[in-house]
Amino acid sequence: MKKSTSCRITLKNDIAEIRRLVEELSIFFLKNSLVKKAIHDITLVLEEIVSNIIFYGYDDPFEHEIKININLTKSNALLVIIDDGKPFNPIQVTEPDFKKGIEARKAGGLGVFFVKRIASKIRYLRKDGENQLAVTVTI
Amino acid sequence: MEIKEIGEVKSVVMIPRFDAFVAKEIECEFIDMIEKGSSKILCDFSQTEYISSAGLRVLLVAAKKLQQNDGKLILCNMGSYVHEVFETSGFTKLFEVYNTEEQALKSLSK
Repeated sequence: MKKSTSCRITLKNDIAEIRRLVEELSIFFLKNSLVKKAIHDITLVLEEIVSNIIFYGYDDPFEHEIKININLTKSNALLVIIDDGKPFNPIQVTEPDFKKGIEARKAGGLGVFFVKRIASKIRYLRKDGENQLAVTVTI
Repeated sequence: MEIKEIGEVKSVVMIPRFDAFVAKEIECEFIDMIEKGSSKILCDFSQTEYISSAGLRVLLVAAKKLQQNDGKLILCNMGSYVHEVFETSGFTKLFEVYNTEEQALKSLSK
């Protein structure tokens, strides 16, 4: 059963794939009996990263693959997300302006902010035309 | 989404997963409601277990549009994870958040 502490999911750059991601994750979470908080955090991190890639990562109309690898240890989930979209380093994204009211407030950057808030560690690498993002979440 | 009419208030029961997949569709429903003249909208999160930034964005878009028409969007019945996402994003400062529908309705009738 040791094998089930890791999982690999490949998604297409179609926003409907978010639902398949959630389904695949729920099977994996069930196998590993993760607590609710960990399930919520991992799901949110992956949705924010993957939807960013799908919405903003590609300028062409072609199909692309987004590869996700999850590895669980006793206290951490290591999430690796690889895509061949435009270079995008979420670590460099500035925080939303929390002081602004409804009219002036923009929703951009919130997803990345959630990822940074939840992650205990983030590493970004652009290599061989791919974004390789590694996010560690405490579980 | 289930929409109830309580006087001049539209009370909307939000869906269980408010994520990037459904965001566009929900945004259209809100815009439609506002364009048809609704100015007081109450979002009931009692059924919602999950919301991401895509969901928050929709609420922000709807609230901005309502504000232009002197309207208002308020929220109630949030579970702990949904509330945490709102709090982390600073959205609890942008919106009025009530524990119950009753309290929310009371504030709108003022």
